[in-house]
Order: sequence, then C-alpha cells, then structure tokens
Amino acid sequence: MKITIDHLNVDVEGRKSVLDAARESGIYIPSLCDHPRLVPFSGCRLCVIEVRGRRGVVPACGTYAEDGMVVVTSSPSLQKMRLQILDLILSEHPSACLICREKETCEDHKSTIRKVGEVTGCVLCPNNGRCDLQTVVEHLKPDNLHFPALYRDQEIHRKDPFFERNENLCILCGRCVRICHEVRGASTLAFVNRGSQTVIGTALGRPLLDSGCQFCGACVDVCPTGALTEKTVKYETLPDEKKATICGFCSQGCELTIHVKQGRIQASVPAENGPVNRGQACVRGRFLVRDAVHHPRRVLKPLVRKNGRLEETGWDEALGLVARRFAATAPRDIAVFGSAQDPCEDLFILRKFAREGLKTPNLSGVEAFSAPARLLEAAAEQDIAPPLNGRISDIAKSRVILLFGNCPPMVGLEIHQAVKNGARLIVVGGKESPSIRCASAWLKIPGGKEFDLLTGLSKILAGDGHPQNGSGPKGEAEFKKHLQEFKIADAVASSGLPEEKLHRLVQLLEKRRPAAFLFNATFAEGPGGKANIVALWNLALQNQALFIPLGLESNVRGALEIAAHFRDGAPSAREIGRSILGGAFKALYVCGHLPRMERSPAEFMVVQDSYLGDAGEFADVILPATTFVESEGTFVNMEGRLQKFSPAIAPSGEARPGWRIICDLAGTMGLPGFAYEAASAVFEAMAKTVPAFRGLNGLERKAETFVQEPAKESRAFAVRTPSAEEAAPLYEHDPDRYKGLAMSRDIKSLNIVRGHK
Amino acid sequence: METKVLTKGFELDHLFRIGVYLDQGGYRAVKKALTEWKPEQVLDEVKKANLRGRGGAGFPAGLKWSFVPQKTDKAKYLCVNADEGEPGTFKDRYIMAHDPHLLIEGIILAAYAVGIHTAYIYIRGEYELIARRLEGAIGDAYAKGYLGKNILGVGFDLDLYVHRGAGAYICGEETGLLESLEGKRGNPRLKPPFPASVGLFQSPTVINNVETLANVPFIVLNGAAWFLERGSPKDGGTRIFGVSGAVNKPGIYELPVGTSLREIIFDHAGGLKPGRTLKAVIPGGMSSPVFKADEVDVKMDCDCVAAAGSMLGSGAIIVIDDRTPILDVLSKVAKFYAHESCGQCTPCRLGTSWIHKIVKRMAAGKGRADDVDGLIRLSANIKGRTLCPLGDAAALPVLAIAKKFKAELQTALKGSA
Amino acid sequence: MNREFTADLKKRIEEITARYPSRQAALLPVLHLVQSETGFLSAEEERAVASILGLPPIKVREVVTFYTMFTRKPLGRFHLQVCSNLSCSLADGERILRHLQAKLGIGAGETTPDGKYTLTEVECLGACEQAPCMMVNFDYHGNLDPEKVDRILEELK
Repeated sequence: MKITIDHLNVDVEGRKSVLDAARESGIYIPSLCDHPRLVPFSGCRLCVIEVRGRRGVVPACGTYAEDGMVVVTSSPSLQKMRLQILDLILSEHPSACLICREKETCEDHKSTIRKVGEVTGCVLCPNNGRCDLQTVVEHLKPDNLHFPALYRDQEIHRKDPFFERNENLCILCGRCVRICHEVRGASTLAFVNRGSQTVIGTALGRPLLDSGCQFCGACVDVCPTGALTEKTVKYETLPDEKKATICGFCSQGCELTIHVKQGRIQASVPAENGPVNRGQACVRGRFLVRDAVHHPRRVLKPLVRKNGRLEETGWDEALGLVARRFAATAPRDIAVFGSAQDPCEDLFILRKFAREGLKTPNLSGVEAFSAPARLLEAAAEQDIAPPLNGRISDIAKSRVILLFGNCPPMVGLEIHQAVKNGARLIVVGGKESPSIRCASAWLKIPGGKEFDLLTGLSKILAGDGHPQNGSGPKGEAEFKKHLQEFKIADAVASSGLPEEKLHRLVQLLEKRRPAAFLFNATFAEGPGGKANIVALWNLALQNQALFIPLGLESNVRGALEIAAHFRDGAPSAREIGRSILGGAFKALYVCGHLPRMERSPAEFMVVQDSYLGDAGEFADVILPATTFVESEGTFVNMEGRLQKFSPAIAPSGEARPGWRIICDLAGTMGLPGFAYEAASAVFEAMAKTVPAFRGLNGLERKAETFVQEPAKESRAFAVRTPSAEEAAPLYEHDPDRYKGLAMSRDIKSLNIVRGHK
Repeated sequence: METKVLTKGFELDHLFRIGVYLDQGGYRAVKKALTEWKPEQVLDEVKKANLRGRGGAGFPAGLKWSFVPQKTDKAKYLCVNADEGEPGTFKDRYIMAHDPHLLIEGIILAAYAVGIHTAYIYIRGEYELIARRLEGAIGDAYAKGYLGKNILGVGFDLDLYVHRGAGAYICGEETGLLESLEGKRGNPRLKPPFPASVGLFQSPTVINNVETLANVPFIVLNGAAWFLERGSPKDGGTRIFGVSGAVNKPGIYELPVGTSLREIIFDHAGGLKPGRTLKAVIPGGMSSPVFKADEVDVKMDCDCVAAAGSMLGSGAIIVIDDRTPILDVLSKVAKFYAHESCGQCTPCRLGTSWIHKIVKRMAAGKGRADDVDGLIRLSANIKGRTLCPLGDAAALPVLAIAKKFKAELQTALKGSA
Repeated sequence: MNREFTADLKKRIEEITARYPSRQAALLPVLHLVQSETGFLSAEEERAVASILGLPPIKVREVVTFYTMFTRKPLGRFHLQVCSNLSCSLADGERILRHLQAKLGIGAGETTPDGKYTLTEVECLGACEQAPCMMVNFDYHGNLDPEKVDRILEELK
C-alpha cells in the first residue's frame, strides 16, 4: 500500500504503524515509549500526528498505515503540542541541564561533582549521552520549561548485580515492563500503584534477585533515560567505537555489538538486527563478555612448568618444549582434545595437525558428548539421516512443543512467542527454568525413562491401523511391529503418568500441528540416550514435527562437521575421550576445558586456553589463546548458520588465535603445510576439503549462509531399544563455562545470580 | 409530567424477588423475543428505537450491537458496565437494587440479539450488597429457567456472572473495564481495535450500561415507535436523571429524554434550598462542562446538551448554589481526576497531577497571578491528546470552570495574595 | 514462608475461576475473597493468590496496588469511608470527616490504636442523593449529620 508522510510517498508492506513506516523512510517523529519490538503503548504521546480525514491528533505508534493515508508529522501546531507534552515529561525528570544556556560549554568547564546521589541534570546523570530523552529535547528544542522539575526522591535500587534502577529518572514509558513481559516472557517488572504515584516495581517489592529475574538486560537496553543503568558503564563517556561480533558463549550465535573504549571492552549489547537474537541477549552475552575477556585468570604469556610451578616464558621456549616432547612421543601415545567453543578455523587446523602432523588417530573433543553428536551416532547406526539445519525462529510457529531438558535462552524466547500465540509447551525433565513458567505441564520423569513414555505415545498415536503397503516411510512395518509388542503399561510405569494422561498428550499432538521436539544432552547422553533419540525421532516422523537437538557450545555444529571429515573409522571420539581421561596416553594437547580430574591424565599435557582453568592444575605447558572477541573466525550455530566474526579488540597480552598457535607449533616441529597467513586462508583451505563447508565463503556475511547437508532420504522409521551397556555421561555441559573459566564461580556478579535461589 | 417506565415498580416492596417481578409481568419481553422473534428482530427494534447509551458517551446501542460479527469461531461476550463511578451518578444503583430482574431481562435480550452465551456484570466494588442482591436474582433466574442452558426451551444458552471491581474510576471506561475483568490493572486499551471485534479475552464483546439494557425489555414489549414517543427522535425513551447537590429534593427522576434542565431542577427536584440561588449546574456527571445559571434552558438529550457545549453523560445533575465558591468545585474536580488517572499516558498522568497541584495552591491562598491561565493552558494540553476519554473528562470541566468563572477565580487569587 | 489456603477457601476459589476462560480473570474476585478472610493482603497472600491462579507474583502486585479497595495493611474492625466528592461537599460533607477525626482522634487514612476504626476519605460512593454519605464496611449511611454519625458509631459493636 502507499501512504503519504509529509508529502513523501511511502510504500508500506504488511501491517505497520505510521511511526514504523516513518522510521523506515528516515522521517523522525519524536517518541519515547514506542519500540520496534513492542506492542504500541501510546503512553508518551509525543508521536502525535495529523491524519487527513480524522479529527484531532492520533499517536503515530498506535495508528496503522492504510492505503492512501495522508499523514502530517510536523507542523507548527504539532510542534507546540509536543513541546507542551515534553514540558510535562520534564516536570518529573531532572532537567536542569537540558535547557541550560551554558550547556555547550559545560563539558569543558564542569568540575568533578558527578558521582552524586541525586541527579538534577544530565551532567550528573550516569547515562549522559545514552538517553533518548536528550535526543527528543535536542529535536524539539524547548526554550523554557513551565513546570519546576519535581524530584521523586525514591530510593535508588543498587542491591542487584549488573544494573541499577533509579525511579527518579523514570518517565514511565513502560518499555522495560513490556520487553520483560512481551519479549522475554519473564514478567519480573511491572507498573505498581496508580496515576502520578505509579512506579516500576518488582514482585512483592523485592530485589530483582528474588523476583525471578534472569538479568538478560533487555530492560536496560530499552530504557530511554538513565533510570536503568549498567553499573560498569555509568558515568563512563561514550565508547570510541562499536564492533560486531558473534557471542562465543553458546550455540545460538547471537550477534553482539562490542563497545570499545581505549582498547578495552566497555560493554557488550545485543545487535538490534542480529539474525538469531534480534536485539536480545542473555546475561552472559549482555553482561559477562567484558568481565570474561578482561578476567584476572586470563593467561597473558605462555606458561611452562618448572620445578612443579608454572612460570611465564616466551612463545619460542614454550613451543620449542612442546615440539620436542611431541617429537619424542610415539604418535599412538599422543591424543588431542578440542574445544567446541573455538572457531572452525582453530578446529580445522587442530585436526589437520593431529592427523597430518602428529599422525595420531586419537582425536576427540567436547562436541562428541553433545546432543547432536548422539543423534548423528544413532542415525548412522540406524541408517537414517535427520536434517540438522533449521531456523530456531520456526519454533515460534509451532502449536505444540515438547522440550526435553533445558534450552538456551533465545530458543526459550521462541518458545515463549509460540506459547503467546497459543501453543502448548510440555517440558520433560530439566531444572527449574524460565521456560517452565510458560509450560502447560512439566513432567519430572527420571532420566533414562523417556524411552518408554515416547514409545507409548507413538503406540497410541499409531492406533491399531496396519501399515499400508509400501505407502508409508521406510521401516514402517518393523516400527509398527515394535509398537505392537510394546506395552502401554510400561510407559505408565516408567513415566508415572496415568494412561489417560498419555492419551491426552497424544490428542494434544494430533490436534496441534506443527509441532517441535527439542532435546538437550541430558536426554541424549545418559544410558538409553540413543534409544531415546530414536524413539523421539519416530514420534517426530509420525507427527511431522521439527526435530531439534540442542547443542550447547558455540561451535558444536562446526566441530562435528570438521570431526566427521577427519574421522577414519578408528575408535569413536567418545571412546578416545574416555581413554584420555582414563590416562591412556602419554602426551595430550587439550584445548579449553577438561572435566575435573584427581591427577594428571598424561605424562605431558599441553593446554591451549585463554584462562588458567582446572586443566591448568596438571598442565606442563599452557599456551595463551585469544577469546572470540579478540579473534577472527567463524562459528556454526545450532541452526547450521555459518557466522563470521572479526576481532573487536587486540589480543590480551601475548595471546594468539588458536589456529596460529598450532601453525606456529607445526612450524617449530618443521611440519609442512601449516603456513597460513590469516584465518581467512584457513577457511579457504577448509572450504576446499570439508564437505559441509564446500564452496562457502566465510568472509562475507551479506546473506544468510548455512553449512551443507548431505541430501539423503531421511524419512525412515527405526527401532532401537535401550541397552544397559551405554555408559554414563562423561562430560557435564555447563552453559556458564567459557573455556577454562567457570563464569558462575569466577565472576562474582554471575556467582550471585546463580547462587541465589 | 413524569413518565415512569423503568422506575415504575420501584415503590413496590420486594420487586427484586422474582415472584413479585413475575407478578408484575416480568420476563414477558424475554418470552416474546425468544419464542416469537429472531435475534435480528430484537436488534432491528432496538436500532429503530434509537436507544442511546446511558453510561456517558451516548452511543446508539443497536448500532454497537450490529458491529459484532455474526459469524465468528470465537466466543462472544456481553459486559454490563455497572461501574457507576462518575461522581454524581447513582441511577444504576437504584435499578440494580430495586429491579435487578429488569436488568437481567435486558441482558438476556441483548445476548439473544447478538448471539452471546456468556455475560458479566462488572459492578463497582463498593456496591457489595447490591452485587449480592444481583447474585441472588441471577440464582432465581437460573432456577426459573431464564438463564442457563436451553432458556425457555428454545435452545438458547446464557450464563451470567457478577464481577466486582475494586475501586478504580477508569474501569468505567469500556476497555479499562475489559482489562480489569481479565484480572489486570484497569489501563485502557488502544483503539482500534474496538471491543466489538477484539474485546474481552480477545473476543467480540458488547459493553452496555445498566440503564441502557434496562430499557431493552420495554422496547421489545412496546415497540420502537412507542419508545421514540417517550423521548427525542434521535434519542429515544426516558432517562433516569440523578439530581444531587443544593436542591430540596435530591434523588432520581425518570423523565422523557429532552426534558429541560431547568424543569428538572426547579419542578422535579424542588428547586434550590431555602435562601439560595442557582450558580451553576453540572449536567451529566462530573466530567461534563459546567453550565452557568443562565444556561439551564437546555433540552436534556445527547445532541442538545452537546450543542450547548457540554454533555448529557450519565444524566447526573449536580446543582451548585451561590454560597459555594467555584474554587471549591474546581478543587473537587481536580482532586478526583488526579486520583483516578491510571498513569499510562503523559498528558493525563502529569496533567491531572499538575492541575491538582495548582488548584491546591490556589485553595491554600498561595496561587500565582497566572494560575487561571495556566489551568486553561494545561487542560487544553490534555484535551484530545490522551489515550482514553479520561483525559477529556478531566480537562473539560476544568476548562469550563476556568473560563466561565475566570473573574471569580481571579478575585479569589487576588484575595489570597 | 508460604501461606496455604484452607480447603474451603480453595474450593471457593475454584468456583470463581470456573466462571472465566482464564484463571487470571478471577484475580479481582479472589483478592476480594481472600481480603474478606484475612482483613488485608500481605505479601504472603499475594504469593498464595499468584500460586493458586498460576500467575507470576508481579501480576498480583500490580493489581493490588492499582485498586483502592485492596489494602496491604490491616484495617480497623469498622472501616469508615467518608465521601469527600462534590455532591457530598455541597451538603457540607467535610463536616462529617472533621467530626469523625475529632471524635476518633485519628486522621484520614489512620486506624484507632484499639484497632476498632479505620477512617478513610474516599471519592464518590454513588449515593449522592443521600449526601453527605459514608460507608461502614459495606453498609451505606446517608443524609449524615454529626448526631447521626454518633448514633451510627454507638450501634457498632
């Protein structure tokens, strides 16, 4: 449709507010309460406009474009109206500086009176320069205020970690309340009291720590004033530059904007147009990047154990030592353990080094113990090929969701959207989490018992019908037979649910399509994990459901694709992983974190990490690696999305990117084929050899890029029953761990959040 | 001459009992409509009768009903606005206390006309005892088969519940009422969408005032023409005017729509108390702009009162005598709206609060020379710019008082200076 | 500490929720019910109501603080609510409030030390024809003068 905004013809697609249409056409309409991600609120009333044919004025945020609409967004009378409304807003917001005549020269002359308890104007405000209200004032240019600003004299809430809440600066736009409720599904903040007494409050007036807050920071990011201020940024001047990166803390791959100040990270905020996160982040991405990257446990120089103690040394000495020891060890006695938190370039070089340089078959990594890895294993054994690529935004379109265990935060937001649109969420197992709050049911079925429940559901869903000849998917006949032999009583006994409830679950699945099934490592890893996966896969086939394994580390998917390429039929990566911990090898090269051990797993252990972590306790050499913020590289997120990132800041100390460390080591060992100049060159090499990356361009992120999947018939039923031989999980995935840094232990603010129940 | 229709039976004892109500010919309209008429006929008759809303806005009820989609896969709801929070208004309390079955009958007819099967009476929380009486009456109506499943055997179902508010004027605003009924703060919603398409629980919803619905049985029984005869051509029927303030006989007076304000005050309500003269009248509840003593020759129908610069509103007439300083009236108006603003939009939240602050300082003798102009500017700034009608409700009476009684207010300012 | 509702109260709450397609819609009636049982709504009641209706506690807090009839502190046995709006003040309603303040020795919004009376100044009660008026708990009293107020107080036991 076409509308006219201030004589400008604007094409509008779909249902869109006049304010959004104007924004997209570069027309600024002052507004303080509206936000592109939120339902219109029409509270501030600054966005009043005139619409031809309508009486009076209407808010642009709450008025939807209609074909042929003629809109006036600026006129002397609208300007006057807005000034009058601004006048009122500023009557309860400290405004001394906004209209001060010496505003221009203030910056040069102001003294050091800033860190005060009471904010009377912008120069005393912790958020000076990061304020939408300032922008509106600059636009409307009031020359006089008709009301004295009344200071509300409310206590400033400083007890919570990460950010402060100062009601005295609040203009009650409600963005924080609405983002918390509408987008995050958290309902931690709300309007309390009424009329001029209204404030933003928490449940029972308690600190956020006691109110179920996840500290995602969404409220801080939408606050138009200094009412919500990140503690570490307050009173700071603006960043020197803003750089994009991909968060390395988990498998979702949220795009973050790193605010850089004098070479250090000032803050990390979610990118408004991040393809996965769309302006959202979680506590880790929003508040911990800075603390993690500049953490005191960072290893800044290579460390070598001398007389039982780790001592700083130069790269040449450290690499020389490693080269000598590896050269002196038989290839079969060396093992390599990779980190799925490292970019593809690091992982590719590490495996190439192990295979072609060290010539050892002993390769393992964290990814081998993940939900998608288990799925791939189960699939290979059953000769089925489930697709791994997908979009987590598709979850929001589901009408029923089965979630096994806990899910990462952005997946949680998609689930919340689905539930808001009427979907039902059934959670099986897992810990108390935000998603459980919007669940219709939380089935606390003991781990390993899911198989019976799922098979029972399949049986009820299949009914008594016999497979029609040849029309159904492959394996249907065997599957039906398997179901016929299965006793519902077993499902009732294992799940503790009455049979009637199982029938109701099946009705839910039948009535509500599409469905999405999601499972985490706990579901997939334990005894019977593969049988669980196959049972869920069958149910998903019966129900045409999305089938999503939830990997945790930032590059699990990339690591799996690279590992698959280097696999040669030797013992599985899981078995090698077990052997490493069991002390079966003489020399180890470990990237990042290993599970905590009682004693050193090898005679000689090299750890490549950014932190002095648990593995460092037994390491003979620690090689300092960069963090994702300091490196160039690519991650493949849980959707299969290939995302490139560039360094936002220079490496800390002498830390080097992982791929370069290995190349340097290979060079020291005199191995050919590791003379890469840059991460991009490594990617090019990888794109030539690893099938999943074949033909992809890692350098440009203009369009969405997904890794390649083999085109193989995937619609087939399979039969697998739990076997007691499957060992217990080896590796406990901790979403709060970044390499050697256990953030919930090593970063105080997160420690407070996690320790607080 | 007083023409009693709705209030005719009010003098009877125990009319609220279903037996008495039935003896008086009660539920005849329901029987007639459900057994003889199609739903559309009820709707058409009410449309033809030009029954306008008695709650405040005066919107034609039949038209409102016709906005609800006939075919929808969602449930439809009827919400009866019995919030009666407009200061000066008490007529609905009379109807519900004396003749609850008349309201129930009106509800059944409206629900039948629109195809609604669930209705809620949203009654202000203070009317606890009346809510209990309504619940009793509803119980009796269920027992007699006028509510519940398969009413009168015609296959029409209707459930009716009483829902008590909890002290918030804004819940008389129809979307504030819906939010409140959903168990939330009574913050009004953005319109469009209007409740007829997206209302209670996101479903098509009709919201009618108590008195509006109480008229429906008479329209069904006597026809639209009969109803129009009793009022104005574009505003049919009688209205229950509630008169309070400085009159000899405060109370309710059911009179034809279009009766003059002067007649109501001086003939029906007994004129002013001895020794006092008329100074001003608020014609339709506190939110309606004040008339001066020489402006009371106005016909009390929606259009005439609007033409005279005010509004018929809820028909609540507050009579102000010459002994009452206009600043006192202004103080009450200012205090009330500052107290009742929900706080969502800036002009209302801060505007009403500043009006109150300024009027308070005037009343305390600390007013400033330009305060009256300030009030005019401030209320003009609120008018037409707020999210819901509460802004206008707060601004219009202040504007009218400040303009019409500027001299008196200025004198009061000087006197205090 | 979490408050548990009695079985009877739970039953009545379930009767209320059955009237609505969403449990949240029962919030106002349930708060009225709980307040009538406990006298006021403490944090414990808020939490308990949230839990029984399946709501985040903040949803209860925002409602409790919006409506004037919900009280978060104990009231006297007799809650005297005196209208101070226009129609009542035209009938000299301020006199009634002043009289009660003097007689009970408390200001508006206060409770007598013996916990017998709470005095509140309220907006229009919808009984303007009987101005000045007040409510004692849920009973309306109109056409008040100081003598009538005294008689009413005497009858309150």
